[in-house]
Amino acid sequence: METILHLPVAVASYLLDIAHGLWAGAHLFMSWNNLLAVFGGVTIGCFFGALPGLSITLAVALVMPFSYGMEPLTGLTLLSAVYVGAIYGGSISAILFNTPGTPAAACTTVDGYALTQKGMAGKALQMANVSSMVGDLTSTCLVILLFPLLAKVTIYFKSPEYFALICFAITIVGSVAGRSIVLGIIAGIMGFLLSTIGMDPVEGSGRFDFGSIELLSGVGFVPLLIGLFAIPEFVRQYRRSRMATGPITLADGGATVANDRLTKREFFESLPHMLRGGVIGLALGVIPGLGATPAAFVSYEQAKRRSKKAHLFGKGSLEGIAASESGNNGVNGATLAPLLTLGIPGDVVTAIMLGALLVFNLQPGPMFFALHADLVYGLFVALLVCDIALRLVGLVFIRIGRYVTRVPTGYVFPMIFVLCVLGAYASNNHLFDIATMLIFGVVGVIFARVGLPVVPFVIAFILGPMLEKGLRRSLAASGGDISVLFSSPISLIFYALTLIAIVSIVRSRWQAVRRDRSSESTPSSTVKDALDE
Amino acid sequence: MTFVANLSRPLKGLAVGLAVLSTLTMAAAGPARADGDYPSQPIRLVVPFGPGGSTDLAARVLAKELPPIIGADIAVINVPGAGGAVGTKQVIDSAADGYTLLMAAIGSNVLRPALNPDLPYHYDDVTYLGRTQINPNVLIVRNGTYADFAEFQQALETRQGKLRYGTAGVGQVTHLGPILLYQALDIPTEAATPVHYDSDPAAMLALMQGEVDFVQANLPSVASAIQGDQVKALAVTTPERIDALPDVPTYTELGLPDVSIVGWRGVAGPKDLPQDVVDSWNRALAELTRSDAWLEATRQLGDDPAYLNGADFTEFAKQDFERYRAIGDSLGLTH
Repeated sequence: METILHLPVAVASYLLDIAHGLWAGAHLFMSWNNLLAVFGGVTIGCFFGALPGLSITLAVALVMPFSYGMEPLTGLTLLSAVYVGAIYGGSISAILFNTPGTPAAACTTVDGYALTQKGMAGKALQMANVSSMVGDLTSTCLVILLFPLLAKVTIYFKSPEYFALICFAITIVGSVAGRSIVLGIIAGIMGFLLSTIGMDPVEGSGRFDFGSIELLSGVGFVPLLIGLFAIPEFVRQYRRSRMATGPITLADGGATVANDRLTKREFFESLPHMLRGGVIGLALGVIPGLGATPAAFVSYEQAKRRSKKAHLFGKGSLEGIAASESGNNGVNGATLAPLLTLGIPGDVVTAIMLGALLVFNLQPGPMFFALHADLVYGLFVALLVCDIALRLVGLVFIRIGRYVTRVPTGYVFPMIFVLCVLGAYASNNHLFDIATMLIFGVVGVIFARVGLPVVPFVIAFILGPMLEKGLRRSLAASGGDISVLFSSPISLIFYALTLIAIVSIVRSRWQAVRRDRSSESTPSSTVKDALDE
Repeated sequence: MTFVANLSRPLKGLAVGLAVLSTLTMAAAGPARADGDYPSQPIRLVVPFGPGGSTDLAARVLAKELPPIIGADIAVINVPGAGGAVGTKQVIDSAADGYTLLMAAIGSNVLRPALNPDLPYHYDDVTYLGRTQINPNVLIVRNGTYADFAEFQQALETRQGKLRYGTAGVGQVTHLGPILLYQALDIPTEAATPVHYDSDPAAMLALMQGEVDFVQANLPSVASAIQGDQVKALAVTTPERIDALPDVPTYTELGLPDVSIVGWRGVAGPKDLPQDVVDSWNRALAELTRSDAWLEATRQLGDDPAYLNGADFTEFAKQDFERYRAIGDSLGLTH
């Protein structure tokens, strides 16, 4: 009897502790300075995220010197708010200009831009905003509930588990490959090969650098991304305008759907994807070194597999936007767990927050939560308020965004081009990155010409080095014993998931082929076709 | 002047006025400083690593506290890439006028050139203006594995080839530190296998996970875990004990003074800087490193203030370079 009672009592007291902590945190948070930090931070983040070329790192690095001079909670709140805002803001330019404002929004471009071309940019922007908020909210609530446990998850993820997880993540290529899985795999292999340029991630020696210090530092990800997406879009819009008689706008023929708010039905259809995205973001955010981009793709892939309208994915699916945007925003709160409890930054933004902690004379690590519970809960409250800010600030940006779709492209795209050059340079204060951006612009144009999909290329470029690190560290630590890769249950689960994913990709492709054969005469009028002309 | 002549009258007046005004402000600013006209404009301080890292933070503390002393604003600019090589090279190639300087660090200025002879610069391609701080390293093991250094040393000597240690990357302080230890103990460098991670905290995480057996990492990354009894500190690399870890012996006390590997940071510029630039930085850094505000901020970052003037810093960098080049040769890293 006693043992049965024990568990509910323990859970109740645990929840009571959290409620108490949140109350104290809210008390610490409620000041005009902190509220200003939230709204100001989210606005700055949205702005930088929404402008193609200006990266999230740039936004955070810009507010960093200010935050270091503030109260610890205000400073950390400002940095988090900029992060949250920028991750969301990236979706705006992904949807409007086919150019992800941040790497994490690369997944949103496919469906978002397709909707813009159909004159439904408003709907897409609304969905991105709502799902960012719901995804972030879901993951923040779970972080608050599970915070002490999350650090334990991090401890379980050694190099072999990390490797297995990345293996699984790579199967995403299958669901974003577009029409041909073979072309998707080819693009993926090219991205993987490209990622090997530069310093060997484990041994530090140069690979394919040809004695050039620029190549030794590897291909810059931000310039690569800007080049691959923005330049081909620029070229496409230029050709479109040449063929038109008068000024043209982004939406096809200038006609926009009158009612471009989200309907209740659309929201509830996508809600499961948002919640799942939040959970996926949480799970991947806890593991250092993954970041928001894989989370968006994994969430997208899972949504596509479960959706009743899977055939719309890649051709303008609101559910797709919901999945990817909730996935990448779900990471925000979760990265705080390894940062605060282990002192391990998962990405550039948390690295800057780690610096802020040191400047505030706060030592992150196992003792942090015990010593500074108020601050941690204050930060949680700040994250929750960020979600409210995200919605309010988002509404303003959506209004502007909808307007931009009606501005002639002759004004919009030259400006974007300037921003891209600026952003490529500002990412590392290095001229070589502008050249990188232009080169990948040409690569992007060639990709579009021969029908190679860009997204698998980008995913492989991100995941390649992670896969390599996981594998080589596992082998170094085990003295070259390959069985270490299969020795833990966590890894085995991920290998099983990988197999399931591969089987399901092959099966759905096979079914698609059969369907195509049986209905060969039906004209397929997809957005992709409209894009390619 | 033709440009001014073509302007309309009110604009011409404005242009002349501005010209006079700027001359006046420059004249007013000039004599206020004792050391000639340097610096007469803001100084770019290039950090060859990303924002938020320890070198970046050191540079930002400097940029905040130094302007009243040197008499010009300092703008911190991050140029990361290739382990600090890109930013360092950018400064080396810039004009030697004292307005583009480098936040020098052990990794970018000495370790990279010492272990990568292919790198297009040498450790002495810069003018060292002054070292500001050092960064103590701590040898840590999982709690409950080894009680003290003697026990650890015994394990290292008897279980040769079995122990693994985590580093923040090949050729980093965390990689070479343990090698210095084997050399001091006179055991082969294959005594333990390095596993390379991305950063000091990541190496510590691997230690907590049990993927590696020991790590010798910088103090701020591991201090909290030591306080929280998650890992145990066995030795520190500074000549004297650290305030934060009063019970942990130094390698010097353990009879191994050669394991005195520390990270360091300072300011450097392109080669052949004008003498007045060198002089004013020597003076400014000496004053800065005595100021309370700087001392406090630097200690908060986990660094030890350790000023060396330009000449001593140059000699120090040379010794460090030769020491690590020798290690690199013995490991076959420099082939």
